[in-house]
Amino acid sequence: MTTGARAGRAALVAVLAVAWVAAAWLLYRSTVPDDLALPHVDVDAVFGAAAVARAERYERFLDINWALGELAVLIALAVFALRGARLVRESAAGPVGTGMLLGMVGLGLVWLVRLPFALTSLWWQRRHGLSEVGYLAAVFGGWLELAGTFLAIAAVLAVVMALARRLGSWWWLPGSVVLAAIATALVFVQPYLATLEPVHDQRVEQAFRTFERAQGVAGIPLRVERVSDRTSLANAYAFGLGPSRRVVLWDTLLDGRFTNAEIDVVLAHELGHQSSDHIPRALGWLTLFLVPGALVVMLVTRRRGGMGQPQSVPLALLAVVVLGVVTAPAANLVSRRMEAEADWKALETTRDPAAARGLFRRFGTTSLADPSPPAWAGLLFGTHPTLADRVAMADAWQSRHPS
Amino acid sequence: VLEQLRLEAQPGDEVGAVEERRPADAAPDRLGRAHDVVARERIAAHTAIVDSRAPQNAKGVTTADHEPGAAGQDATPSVPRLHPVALHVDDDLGRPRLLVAFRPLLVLPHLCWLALWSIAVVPAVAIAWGSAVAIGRVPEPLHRFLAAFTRTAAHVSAFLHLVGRHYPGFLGREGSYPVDLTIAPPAPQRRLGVLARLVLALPALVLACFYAVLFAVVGVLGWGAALVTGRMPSGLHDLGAAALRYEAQTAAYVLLLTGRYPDASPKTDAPTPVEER
Repeated sequence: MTTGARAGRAALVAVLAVAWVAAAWLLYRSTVPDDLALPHVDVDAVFGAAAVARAERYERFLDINWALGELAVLIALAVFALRGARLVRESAAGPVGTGMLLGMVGLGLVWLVRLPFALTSLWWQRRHGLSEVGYLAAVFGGWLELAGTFLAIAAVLAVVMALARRLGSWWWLPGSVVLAAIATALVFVQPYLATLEPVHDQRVEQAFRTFERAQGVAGIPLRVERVSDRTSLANAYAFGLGPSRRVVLWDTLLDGRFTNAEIDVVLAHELGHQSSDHIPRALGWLTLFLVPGALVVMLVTRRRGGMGQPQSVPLALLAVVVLGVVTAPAANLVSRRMEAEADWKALETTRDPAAARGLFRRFGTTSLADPSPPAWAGLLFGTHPTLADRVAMADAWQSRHPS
Repeated sequence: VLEQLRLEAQPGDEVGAVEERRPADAAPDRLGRAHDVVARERIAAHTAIVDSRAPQNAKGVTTADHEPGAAGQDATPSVPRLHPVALHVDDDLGRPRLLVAFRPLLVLPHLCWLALWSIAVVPAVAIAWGSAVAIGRVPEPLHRFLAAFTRTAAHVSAFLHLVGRHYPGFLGREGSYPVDLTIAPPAPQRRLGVLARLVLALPALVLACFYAVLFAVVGVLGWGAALVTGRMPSGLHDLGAAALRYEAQTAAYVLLLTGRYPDASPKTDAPTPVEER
């Protein structure tokens, strides 16, 4: 490579790095006051020592089970990366079709390896009365979802390999943009594919419309998802983009265990995600993670001829899973920041810190969520602030609004 | 566009590669019953089936099938005449368990692709039907298009039901898959037969439904057996091949690729007797 070409490449990388940092800074902004100091919360006093001990025991088991499962997946994919390329001779589908085959086989392998750990996790949840899913249903009930994942990985590999065959080692740049576009399309379509029901509770519907006006958004449908036949856990979520935006409550949230004021906090929290554009911003973060991620995959697979060759696919799968584990703390940090912003918006909207505290305390018992998990668990699994931090935020909001 | 993306290897690559890459332990399969389908194709009685891939023989099949004059010139009227849609099986019985376990999921991209393709097939068949009624034959480009669709569907079906070992391609090129469908070039068809094609096809379609059930049973039993042993039982393999052949011939008849009625005989090793038009 000539000096000029090297300088050009270095300049491009520098421009991309500056653009990355600027975009990350824009996406990281939050309406939570920067000077907000969270007071210390005595978890035993707030949640009850016995409940905390039970939640700790429950969650540590799941954490360790998950970690062992991921370790098994990494080992299986490492073996697949070493030996999977021989499956190329089992295909008559050309390079891209064969790459799709290897990707789907790798995914199937991951599903198989994770299965015993998923069943162990289910056993633990059933033991604690949090799940009513049968073991057979856990194994065979998710075929539709698995089929969707198989199709998705085949489509992604078709795009990536076609680009790699056309653009050589530069596929990662347009490839990450195309993948982000596919993810955006899926996020947009997802609400139209979900089986949801309208809310029959007039009070909940009216409260939701009131909060909509307060947060400056309008016309977002509120829906209910029926999950009570599978789990007793209570939850809610916001999803979709533009006209497909939805806020969804699990029917377990409306089964009488939560007060109206607590349900209002949930409504305002989920609306906070929509009014703060968290879903488009999450897609922005995804793009920011995809660009360097695709670059790493390109570099890793170069020795096997690049992503244009099906032999590279098993190695690429391993690289993607390793990247997922390595970047999990950063991704969780971003997620926690968005959740904290939604909590803050819920407090600003409902102006009811007592209800927020009550809601989070109740989550400690109904979901057996550890109010104050160890740092390593927070780094690896903490997509939401800890319950202790969420109670502390309600306290902090109240101290700023003494009336 | 698909060719530009190189979804498929170059024509002929796959077969050669498969032959070269066949594991050393595949040899006994060639002596087993399941490979009778392959082996018998190489004996004298089946020379025509094998050779029909060669241009001169393909032409010969077409002449014999579709030109009454040519058939009439035949010195021996009892000489068996081949069906214009023939199934060739050149595969072994080994089935890697990892590919067996997820087989129904692995064909999902093909099923989506075939569903998209079928959107174009419907108007293509309508045009082919109109052309055949008007001029007595299906135009060559339409025939090629419909033949590729039928062949791809056969490849995918073979893989799904474990009659085929290898992962199939997407474009349905002849010779690109070890369980392959040879479809003779377009030939004159009786206008009346074309006009009433769907009605005439009803008995074949009913029988095809039975074959489809049989094929599904073969697939399920073969899946279980191959998952345990890593091999497709030869009997199931042959039964599946027979079902596949009938399904393909029925599809070809309905899609106007041939005027010959599907051969209902379950035997895959006997050429169809001459049927004078």
